[in-house]
Formats: sequence, C-alpha cells, structure tokens
Amino acid sequence: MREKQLHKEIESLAGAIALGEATDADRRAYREHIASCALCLTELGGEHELARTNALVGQARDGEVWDPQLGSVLRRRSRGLSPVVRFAAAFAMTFGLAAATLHYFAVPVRPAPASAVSYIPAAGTTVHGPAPAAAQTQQRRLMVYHNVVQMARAPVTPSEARSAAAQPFVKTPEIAAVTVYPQTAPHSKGPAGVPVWRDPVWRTVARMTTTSLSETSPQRVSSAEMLQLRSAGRSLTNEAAPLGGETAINPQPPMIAYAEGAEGTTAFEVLIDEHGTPTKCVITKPAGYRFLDEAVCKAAMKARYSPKTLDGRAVPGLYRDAFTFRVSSNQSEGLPRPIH
Amino acid sequence: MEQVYLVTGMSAAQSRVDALVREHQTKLARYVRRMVGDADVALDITQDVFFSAYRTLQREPERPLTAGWLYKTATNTAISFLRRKKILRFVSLDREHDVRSLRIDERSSASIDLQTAMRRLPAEQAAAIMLTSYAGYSSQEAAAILGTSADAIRQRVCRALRTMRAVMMEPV
Repeated sequence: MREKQLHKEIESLAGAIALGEATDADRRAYREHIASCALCLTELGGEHELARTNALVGQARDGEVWDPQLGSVLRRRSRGLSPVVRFAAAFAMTFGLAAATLHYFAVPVRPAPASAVSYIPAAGTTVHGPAPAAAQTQQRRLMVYHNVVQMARAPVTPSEARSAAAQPFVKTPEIAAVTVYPQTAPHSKGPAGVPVWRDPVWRTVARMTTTSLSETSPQRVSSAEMLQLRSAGRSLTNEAAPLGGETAINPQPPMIAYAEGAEGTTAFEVLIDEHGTPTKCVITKPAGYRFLDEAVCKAAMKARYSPKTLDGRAVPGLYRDAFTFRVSSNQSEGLPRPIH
Repeated sequence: MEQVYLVTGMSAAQSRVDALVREHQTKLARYVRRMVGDADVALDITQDVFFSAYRTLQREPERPLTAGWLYKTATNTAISFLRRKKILRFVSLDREHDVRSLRIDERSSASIDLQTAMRRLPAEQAAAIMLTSYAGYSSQEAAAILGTSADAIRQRVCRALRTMRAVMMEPV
C-alpha cells in the first residue's frame, strides 16, 4: 500500500519535471528515486529524457499545417456537415493534395534554369526523344533516383550552362543520381525452358552530387571556420548525415519490383543517436509499394551516420531523404553516364 | 452597440461566437483531431463546440466564455466520442491508420509517433497530455478544465509519456 502511494508520488514528480513545473527539491527527489529504481529508469528515463519525450508533442504540434475554416457555425447547426459540404470539402482536399503532389513532382522538371532539362532527365521520362533502335533490347531496369527534390536545386556550373545553351538537344544526361539495376535480365530462361529468377547484380552507375543549397546536405565546416564561429558566439550545428556520402544508402528492391514495374517516391526519416547509429526509420511518404519502402528503410538502417553535432557535442538527430524509383524499359533511355 | 448589431443583422451572441470562431477554430480543430485521430470527426466536434457556445450565450448573455471553456467542452465531447468508439480504436493497431488523419505534409516521425501514442492512451491520459504539452496549459489549469487535481494531471502526463517513449523506441 505504501509502495503504491510512493509510486504515485514519483509519477506526479516525473510529470512535473516533464512539464517544467518542478522545483529543485522535486528534481532531487526524482534523481534519488531513479538511482534505486531500475524499472523507472528504463521506462521513463532521467530528467532530460522526460523533457525530450515531452518535446515530441511540441514538435508534432509545430509541424501541423491543417487550417480548417468553419465559416459560419450557426448556419450549419445540424449535427455534422451536410453531405454537400462534405463532398465539397473532400473535393477541395483531394484537389489540394493533387496540386501539392503535382508541385512535388513538378519541381525537378521545372525548366527555369537554362540547362535543367538536359541536366535532369525529367524524373525518368524520355530525355532522348524516341530511341527506336534501343527499344528492341527489352532489358528492364529499376532506376533509383536519389533525392529528386534535391536534384532540382543542384547548381549548374557556368561551363555546363553554356554548353547546354549552345546544344540544347545534346544527349548527355549527366544526372546527379544513383542508379541501381540488375545486369542480368530477370526473365531469362533456364536450360529446361523454365524461367529462372536469378539474383540481380547491383551496380551503382552514377554518383549523387550534393548541393550546398539543399537543406539536408551535411555542412562541412573547416576547423578554422569553426573557431571563428565559436568566437563569434554563434551556435554551430552539423546535421546528421550518412558516412560515405549520399550513396551510402543503397536500396536494393526485391525482384518483385521488376515484375510489378513498381515506381514511386519514398521519403523517409532516420533517427540517428549520438553514436551515429540509426535507431529508427520512418517512411514519411510511401511509394505505394511496401517492398520499395522496406528496401529503403533496410538500406537506411544498414548505413552508418555521423551524428548531429551541436557545438561539437554529438546529440541525437534526424536525417531526411527521399528515393525515387523508376522502371526504364530500354537500354539508353534516361540512363545516366557512369561518372567513374 | 445595439445599432451595430442592427446594421450587421447579428445578435450579440452571434457576433461573440463569430469572434470566438475566428480566434480559436484552427487551434481547437487541431487539438480535437489529435484527440480523436480523425479530421472529419474533429471538424464535426469543433462545430458542435462553437454551437454550444452560441446556445450558452443565448441563455446567459453575460457569461464570459474563455478559451478554457472551449477546450473543456471540446475535451469532454472528444472523450465521450472516444469512449463510444473504444472498440473501433483497438481493432487496428498498425501505424497506417494513424497516418490517415494527418495531411501528407504533416507526416513527420514526431507527428506519427504522437498520433500512434494517442490512440493507445486511455482518454483521461490523452486529455491530460494534450491540454498541458500540446495546448500549453499548466497542470493547475488543466486540472480545473478536467475537474481533478493538479497532481492527478501530472501523474497522467507521466503515464502518457511512458507510452509515448515506448512508441518512439519501437521499430517500425
């Protein structure tokens, strides 16, 4: 009975600490308790852990953008909305989403910078125009465009821009992308005429070039600059990033991806702890095929990361990225030239 | 003042409710959406809250209606909705269900984790953590809204945090 009472007190202390309402005496009492209570330590964590868990709520709230407009409440006093209004709302919502999605996919192919069209092969669509000869060699490939959204903002060097302007139809899709594809076609037949599903040989063709403009790209700051920043009293943050650059995450979809012709964009977030170990992978935008999402998460969990640093101190952080999968049906279409 | 109402064709209660709607609709609707985990239901409940504010003002024109009153009514409606829907809530335990209530641009890991945790919490704990951490009330104010003691609120917050931590830790 007494223990139950004590446990209630500890819970209320922990709640006060999480909400930032605790006095120093409360904190001391809580510290003393968890020093002797392993269960509380594993289930609740220390003072900072409580505050961090609580901060999740604030993070989630600050990320919200839903802004419903009720209009005149009194006109619609029946329970709930009328079917017409519901339909209109659903229509508006769908339309808005569709517009947002279009925008999402339209960003990479925006033709504004002079050479962007030849630089990025329009997210897997034909850049080359008709390729009649190559169309006969029906080798299906699964192309993984690394982070299409970032690619749109890849800076174009002046020389590239000039050459692209001089030859607008030049066929050099030197895109910033990771392309993974099997060298053997999956539909090959065995000796007895039975289809054999061989494991594909994976090969990285092009390397992702990151841009300093992108929000998620790691900021490399030299130690001299770091000292300068330190002395200027500004806090210095390095976001979590995969070790070995952006190509370190290398999703390898299963054979069924070819059979299905699976295409889509998977956006994901990986939680990186202070040691650089990925602790959790969350799909924030599914590709529509579960195996694509799983392949991405599996690859993301396999990679090693450099942890987020605040003033040189490693803290748990978040790495956000996206992969776009496209199936190309012939040899040359949209296939980037190998960089190395 | 009376002339103003005559010109606009609105009663005092109507104009006060309109002001309340303009000021609080977004926050309140998002709060209810987190509580019930469904955007459509959240809109319905928010409508109901403002309509009952209107009826209250018609009955007692002098009554000051604060944000606290709105949150109290919304919380009670949401809790009774959750109790009615209890069986439904525990049928599907996968995360895809939680994602559906959120807009596509709101699906960060923190957001999904919170929604998953909210669905697993008992209604009282959900209300406690939402009023304090989410809506920003202190535990005393939340206690006044829910009609309990501040200690009980803190205790519920602690239990809710325990569930949330478990959700954050578990692999997807």
